[in-house]
Amino acid sequence: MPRSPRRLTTLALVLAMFLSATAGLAHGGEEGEVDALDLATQAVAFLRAEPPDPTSAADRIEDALMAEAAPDDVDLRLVEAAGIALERGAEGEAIQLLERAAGIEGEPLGPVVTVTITPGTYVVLVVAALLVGLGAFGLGARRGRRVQPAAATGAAHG
Amino acid sequence: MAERSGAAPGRGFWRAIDERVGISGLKYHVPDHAQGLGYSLGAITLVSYLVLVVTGIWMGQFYNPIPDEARASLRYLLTSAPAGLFARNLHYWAANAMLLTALLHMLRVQYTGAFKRPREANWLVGIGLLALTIGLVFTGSVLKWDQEAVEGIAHNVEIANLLGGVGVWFSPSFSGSIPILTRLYIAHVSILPILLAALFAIHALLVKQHGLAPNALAGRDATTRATAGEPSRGTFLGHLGVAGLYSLIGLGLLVFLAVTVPAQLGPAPVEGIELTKPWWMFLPVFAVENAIGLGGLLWASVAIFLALALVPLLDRSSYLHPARRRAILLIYLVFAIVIVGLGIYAKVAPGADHLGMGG
Repeated sequence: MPRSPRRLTTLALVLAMFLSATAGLAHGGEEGEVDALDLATQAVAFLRAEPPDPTSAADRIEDALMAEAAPDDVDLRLVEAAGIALERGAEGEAIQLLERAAGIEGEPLGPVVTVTITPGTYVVLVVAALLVGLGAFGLGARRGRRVQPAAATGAAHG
Repeated sequence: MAERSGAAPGRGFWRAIDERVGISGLKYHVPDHAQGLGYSLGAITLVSYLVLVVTGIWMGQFYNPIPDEARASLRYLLTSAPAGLFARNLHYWAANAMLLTALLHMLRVQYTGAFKRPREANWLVGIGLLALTIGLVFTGSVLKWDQEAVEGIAHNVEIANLLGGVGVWFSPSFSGSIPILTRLYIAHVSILPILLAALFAIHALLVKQHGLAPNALAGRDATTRATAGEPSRGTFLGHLGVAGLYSLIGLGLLVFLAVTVPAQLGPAPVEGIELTKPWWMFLPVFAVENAIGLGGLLWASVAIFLALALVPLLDRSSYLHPARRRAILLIYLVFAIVIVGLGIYAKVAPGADHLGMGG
């Protein structure tokens, strides 16, 4: 009987190792033909990523300029200008140029969600403090109630 | 009659409610060792879940789970909907709190041997609850429809392909008329919460059935049988009161975080590239995926859950004190260190292309 858990563990480990190995073999994929519009859009994503990846973005811009498939709705002159801007280190400008080139309705640069302090913020902070205070007071009161009888018992024994 | 007229109004109301719903059934005695924070973690997890339900219902009034509309509706939620930004931030932090307290709860149960006979089934139910919680985190993280979300769905689809017939539901081809984002939204707001509520009900019933586990630290000879002479001055209802007070403190901290540290929304999604990393809870399996490819994500998850499920089988002696269970605790400590180490490695290591998309 004591052997069964050991056997189960060994079996599970062997199974996990086998599955990992087969899964590893299954890994991989084939790249399809990507057109200039998609490449320009991907370059924007690399520049907007946190942290930004200008090297991959520059690769995508280069690929976009050399892509065989270039739909009419991508302006390759702007893509080229974005590449030059990126070489200068002007990532923000490159993003705007690429978004114009690809006809993307761009979002403002920087984090989408920011903290704005309003009077309501202070109200919520007071509520947060009240909740913490109420919980701490309740726990303190309970502890006091538990200690009191024990102390009284101790005094009686003393 | 005389008794009724003499009772305080509040007490009479309480008695009337109790007569109908039987709250006093929860007034059974529990051992003193269970009245601290360590034994309140499960209840705090439940409170986090309730916060998620309430904030989720509110956000559901403004969120549109159609791919073309999702991001715009989320931006509306964050910028124009009443209390939308606050609800989303609170939802985000409550999700973190739920998973963190669930993991700490499991650590406490494992350290004190509270999963031992006759509580093995409840340990397995707890693992089911953890799996559903992670499912909720994943489906929730793709709803924001940013770069991380699109990459998450791409992983979801590839895993579905790896699973073959078993994974068909997770594949976009399962339904020709409803996009996978919408189906994951349905899973997030109805299927998974209902399953979680049902499993939690079983979890709570089994706690009631077996009572709280004996004190593992009472002495080296503490066993799964209730420790003789252990004081049990409090009741389970009182224990819930203590857990409620800890939850109030936790709720206050969540509200504070929701106001001061907002949940971010990543850049607009672009398909065909892979450049983000997932939430902290997925980082350990992400590290394995970095090392051995996409399948690593699946099989590392299977291995972790299998290791958790085996706990009651591997640690079957009736002793509870950690000193009597050193070997098994050491094995699981190493296991936990490896998981945390993998997570840290994935956080600092450069991202890798797992789906053959470039990046």
